[in-house]
Amino acid sequence: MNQGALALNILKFLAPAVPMTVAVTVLSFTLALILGLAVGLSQISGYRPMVLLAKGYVDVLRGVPLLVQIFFIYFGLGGLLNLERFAAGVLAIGICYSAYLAEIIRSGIESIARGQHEAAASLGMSNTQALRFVILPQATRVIIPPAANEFIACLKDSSLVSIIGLRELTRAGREYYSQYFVDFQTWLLVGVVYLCMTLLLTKLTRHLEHRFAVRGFGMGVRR
Amino acid sequence: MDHDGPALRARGISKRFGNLVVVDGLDLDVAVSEVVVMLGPSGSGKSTLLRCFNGLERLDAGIIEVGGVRLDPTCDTIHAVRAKVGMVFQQFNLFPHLSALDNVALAPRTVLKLPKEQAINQARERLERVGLGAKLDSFPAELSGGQQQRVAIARALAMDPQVMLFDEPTSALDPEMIGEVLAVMRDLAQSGMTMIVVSHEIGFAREVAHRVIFLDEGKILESGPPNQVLSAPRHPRAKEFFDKVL
Repeated sequence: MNQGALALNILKFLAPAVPMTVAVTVLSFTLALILGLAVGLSQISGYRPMVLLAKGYVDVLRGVPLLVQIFFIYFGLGGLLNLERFAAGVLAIGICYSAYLAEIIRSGIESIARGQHEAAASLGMSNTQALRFVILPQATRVIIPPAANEFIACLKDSSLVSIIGLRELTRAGREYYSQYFVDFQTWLLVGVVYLCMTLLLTKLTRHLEHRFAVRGFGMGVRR
Repeated sequence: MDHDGPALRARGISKRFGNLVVVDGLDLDVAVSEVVVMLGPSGSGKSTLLRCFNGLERLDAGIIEVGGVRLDPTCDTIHAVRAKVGMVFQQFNLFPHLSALDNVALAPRTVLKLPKEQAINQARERLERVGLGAKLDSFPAELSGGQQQRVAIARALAMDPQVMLFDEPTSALDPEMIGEVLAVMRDLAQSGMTMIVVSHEIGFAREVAHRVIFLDEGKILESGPPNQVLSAPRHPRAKEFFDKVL
C-alpha cells in the first residue's frame, strides 16, 4: 500500500469515531457550563453555606486528576448507579470542567464594576434582573476567551474516555494500530483530526468574541 | 403625587462604617418640587447620606420615607421604592454594552414592564429632552463625559421618579462639559422636579437651589436659602468652608 492509500485507509477507519468525540465534548461541556454557572453564582451569592459548598466543590474537583474522576465515576459510582460508559464519561468530564468554568464565570462577574450593580439597583431592578440584563451580558465578554480555552481542552480531554471503552477518536486509533501495527501514521493522523477540530473551534470562538464585542471597547475610546 | 406630605422624609437616620459615624442622627424633609443642594467638606457624609435615600446604603438607625412609603432595604418593596427615586452618579455608570437608547429604555422595559415600542419611544423623547436626539444609537464609550452624564439623567428620568438624587454629577467632567449638564439640571428644576444635589458647584446652588444644606461630620450644621447659607453662614465650620471655596 502506498502512503496516500494508507492515509485514506486510516482516515476511513477513524471517521466513524469522530461523532462520538464530538458528542462527548459537546454534551460534557454543556453540562459543565450549566453546573459552572450555578456554582459560580453560588460562590458570590453571599449566603455563607452556599459559598462554602461551592468553594469546596471547586477545590476538590480541581485537585483530582480527571482520569481518576473518570475511573471513580465509571467503576466506583457506575457500579452502584448502573451507569453505562457514555453517561459516566460525559458526567465525569462535565463535572470536572464545571469547576474550572465556575472560577471563570465567578471572576468574570466580579470584574464588572460595582457602579453597574448600583446603577441597576437605583433604577429599581431586582438582583436577578440586574444580573440578567446588566451584569451577565458584560461578563460574557470577559468570560468567552478563557471559556473557549476550556472548550478546546475539553475536546482534547475527551480522549480520556477511550480508557473506559467508549469508541471515540483515540480508541479508534488504538484499534487500528492493534489490527495493522502501523503506529507512526496512525497517531499522526489521529493528531491531525484532533487539530482540525480544535482549529475549527478556535475559529468559532473568534466569531463569538466578535459578536459580543462592545462598540467603543478596545478600539480606542473616544472622550 | 398621591400624598400631601414631603417628597422625602428622614428621621433620626444614622450610618456607620465600622467605628466611623458617617451620618449622625439626621432629620430632613424635602418638599415636593424643592431643590436642595448639599455642600460640605469631603468626608462630611454628603454622598453616603444621598445613597441612604435610595437604599444603596443600609441605615443603622432611623427611617426614610419617599412619597409616604417607607424605604426598607431589608424588604422586597425596596425595588419599588427605588424605582421612584432616580439617581445620577459621579462616574455616570452607564451600561457600556447598550446604546444610549437602550440604556434609557432598559429599566422601563424590565421593571415597569412597558412594551418594547412604548419604552423605546419614551426613551427617544427623554434623550431629545436632554439634547441627545442625534446620539440615540451611540454607545457610552463613543460619547463625551458630558453626553454620558446627560444620558444618565435621561435614564433616571425614564422611570418617572418622584425624587432625583445627584451625586456630584459634574465632578468627573472636563470644565467645558460642566455647563451642558448643569443646564439640563436647571431645566429639570424649573419643570418642578424634586431634587437633592450633592455638588461643589456653588454657582448652581446660588442660582437654582431653594435650600442649601451645609453638612459636616454627618450632621446638618446650616440649612436655609442659598443667600443666607452661602453669604452669611452662622456656624464657624461653615464659615471656614465657604471662605475657602468661594
